[in-house]
Amino acid sequence: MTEVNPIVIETHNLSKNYDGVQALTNLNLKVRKNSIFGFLGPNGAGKTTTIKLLLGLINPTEGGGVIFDRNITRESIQVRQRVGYLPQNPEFYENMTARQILEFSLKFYYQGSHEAIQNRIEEILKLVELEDKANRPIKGYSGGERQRLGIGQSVIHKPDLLILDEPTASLDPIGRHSVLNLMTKLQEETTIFYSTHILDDVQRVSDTVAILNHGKLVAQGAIQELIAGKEGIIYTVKIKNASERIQKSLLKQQWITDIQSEISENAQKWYINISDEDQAEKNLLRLLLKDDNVSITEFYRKKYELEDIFLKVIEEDEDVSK
Amino acid sequence: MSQNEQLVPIKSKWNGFLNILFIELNDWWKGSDWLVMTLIWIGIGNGITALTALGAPDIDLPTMINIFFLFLGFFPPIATILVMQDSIVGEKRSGTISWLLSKPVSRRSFILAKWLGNSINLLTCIVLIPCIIGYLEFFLLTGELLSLSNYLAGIGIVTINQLFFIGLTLYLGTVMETPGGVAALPMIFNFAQQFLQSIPYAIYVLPMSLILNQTGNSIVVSIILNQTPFTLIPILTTSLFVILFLLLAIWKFENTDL
Repeated sequence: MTEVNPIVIETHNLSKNYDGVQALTNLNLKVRKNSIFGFLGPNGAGKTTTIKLLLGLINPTEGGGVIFDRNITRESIQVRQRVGYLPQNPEFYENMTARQILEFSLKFYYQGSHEAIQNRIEEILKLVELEDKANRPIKGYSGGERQRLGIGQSVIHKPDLLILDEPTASLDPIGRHSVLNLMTKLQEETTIFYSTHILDDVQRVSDTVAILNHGKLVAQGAIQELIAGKEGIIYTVKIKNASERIQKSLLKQQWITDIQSEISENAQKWYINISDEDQAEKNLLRLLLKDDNVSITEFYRKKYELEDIFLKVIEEDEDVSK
Repeated sequence: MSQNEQLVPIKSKWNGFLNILFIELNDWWKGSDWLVMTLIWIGIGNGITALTALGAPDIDLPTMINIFFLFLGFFPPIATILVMQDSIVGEKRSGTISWLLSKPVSRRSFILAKWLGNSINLLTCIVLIPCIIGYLEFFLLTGELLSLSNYLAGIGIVTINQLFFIGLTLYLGTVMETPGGVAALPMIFNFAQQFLQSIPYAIYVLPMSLILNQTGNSIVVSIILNQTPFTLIPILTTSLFVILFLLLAIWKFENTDL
């Protein structure tokens, strides 16, 4: 499904150098329509720089990119016509109310009767749950309310692409939950490209991710592919009285590619690499229990979290850099 | 959604400009800033002129006009600089500029809206209202009615002087990162002009020559009194500076990473 969707964002060797400091190097990104694309990386990895380049707020030193087939440098205004943006720490005119900010934002894109404008503002206020505070100056807003208003102003014109820079970074768990729910709701109507370093959020709502480190793209793909593709399927077995014979007989199976073992509390812990998921499900436990002396105290398929993948990819990149 | 069918996408290139201009005007006129600023310059321009005239009953009209336009030409740039110092830098520092420019608005429109908005705000309070009151004041104090066309031309000349400082501070706002940095140079320049005027030929390029001439009537006073000014060149040079600062501000801002 994801593969057939057209590409919304595509960059080619996008690079940015700030007075001798290389912030981004040869970034080649592809973001498909209607995906929730998580743009991951540690602080200072170049996430915000990338977003600013996409929006034309800064100019690339090399390379370039297109959004909706429009050049991000030369046709930035046309690009921004179809994009909604939430900055990392949204700052608005403090004396204005949420209603005024939304009206101001809408009028960059649309004109219409007072009633039509107010109707759209009401829809957004309801979406971001700020109806009660719509007429209060923003200077009294909490971080979460400010963030929700930020999302509101970014979607007021029903953009085809929503770019969110660390949308949950400064929020408490309730605020985070509410923003992530909002993002899931919005996915039906738009493509969401968002940067974050909160891996739980990405695993919860994203379908595709890219990992950036020191300004370089170190991984990109669908989350499930990324997780599965990194180390393959591994079964963990805690086994007592295991003989070498069992290990040899296991390794004779074509669908078992490797076994690593370690001693753990008077038992052995085996990590069995599998190439065929179905064969493993049907036969692995049976093969292990063929020997009557063996007792098995743990048997499970190792589950990877995005965090494992993220840390591994970053560590590998750090090693290569050294 | 039927209610949103009434919303029509905007195609005009100038839309972002008008939207930002509206914010500039609304922010100034909805609060009390405009009133405070107007009262200050009525007090300084009209008040001091009236007190001088009432204290010296034999004072003539040219002297009164000289006093009025000196106070309304030399000191208001200070207020202009103080108001303008934060116009661009404040938005850069708060981060609102990145938010605004993520909308479909060009940087040129942003600068032009800032320039026009601040010009309307400041010129109305600092020049236009005190000058309108001044016209009536001169009549009440002397019984003489000045030529309206000449007087309007005089207002135009004081306006050019203010636009010089609006343009200069706007340009510096695109270059500098702190309000103090923006204000310092124009402030020093405004005060230094009276000394710079002694440099040969400097009177032809300094904006102060529009409102102060150390050897006779200034250009603005000469025009209001229907006399031949000692020169008209500063009107041209100051106007060129106004355009130059605006172009520089646009160029610099279009080439700045935000």
